[in-house]
Amino acid sequence: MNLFTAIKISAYGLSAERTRLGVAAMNLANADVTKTVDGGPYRPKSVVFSAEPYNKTGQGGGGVSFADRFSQGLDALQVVKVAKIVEDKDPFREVYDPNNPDADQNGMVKLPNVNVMEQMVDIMTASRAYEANVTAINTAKSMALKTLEIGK
Amino acid sequence: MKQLFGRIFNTLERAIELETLRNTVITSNITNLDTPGYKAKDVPFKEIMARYLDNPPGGLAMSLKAPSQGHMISMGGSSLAVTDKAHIQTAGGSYGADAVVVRSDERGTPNNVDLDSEMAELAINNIRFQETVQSLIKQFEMLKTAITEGGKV
Repeated sequence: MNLFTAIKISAYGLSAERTRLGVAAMNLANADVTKTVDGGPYRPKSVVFSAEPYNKTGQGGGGVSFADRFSQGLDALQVVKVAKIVEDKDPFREVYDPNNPDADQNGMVKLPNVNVMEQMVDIMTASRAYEANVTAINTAKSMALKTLEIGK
Repeated sequence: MKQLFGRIFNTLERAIELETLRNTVITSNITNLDTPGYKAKDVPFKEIMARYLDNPPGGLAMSLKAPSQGHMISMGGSSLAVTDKAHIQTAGGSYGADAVVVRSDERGTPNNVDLDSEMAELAINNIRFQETVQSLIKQFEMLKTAITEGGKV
């Protein structure tokens, strides 16, 4: 067990929250997009998080380090990973705009169903969770630095 | 004769180990703040320390309770073997993964991580850690005083 384990776990949290922030920003940016490469309006996306055992997610794909193998309690530790990014299946918003080139014969244009409020809340939550992870890293850092004082 | 690194050193070492583990577990909780179905975990510091103090490994208790016996053992050379055993126990995880318990489900939600309490526990654990390390530093300082001041007239 060493304090770098805590920092590594937090790093997974930072990366997951940053992905969530990125997806929410993408949803906001594409809130009015009617034409995507797949055809049809843009579909908002959500991030699905999953907890994975720290042991199996060792550094660099080479498993856990020798020192970590002898550490206690590592089996119980879980890191967060982005399991997948799913598309929301909400029906499209329809707006009457006959002048829009994407309008159908009735003059209705299909727009993405992006809930701006929801996305903003998601951005705020992701940002706060990110901060919490940074605090955790700083705590581990201060603990590690304190141990250096033993040898003084 | 008392050991150079006596029971206090061993106890402090165990406390530092546990606090490090606890910090990692709390970090794991914070990281999984938004993971569906994740259950918050904790390390019962008090229980593990109480168990350790009731039943310290190796000849620690012996050297405290019966100094003469401890002396004999250390003279006989078996003290080294005992120390080794304790050391291996620590490194191999004598309290292992079962030291980490799932925190009681007070929120009743699929993900029961409460960020406020986790951050508070993180801060508390950090302060405890600083205290423990400071105590260890003081112990070393006292040891150093005993060594260096002894030669002075």
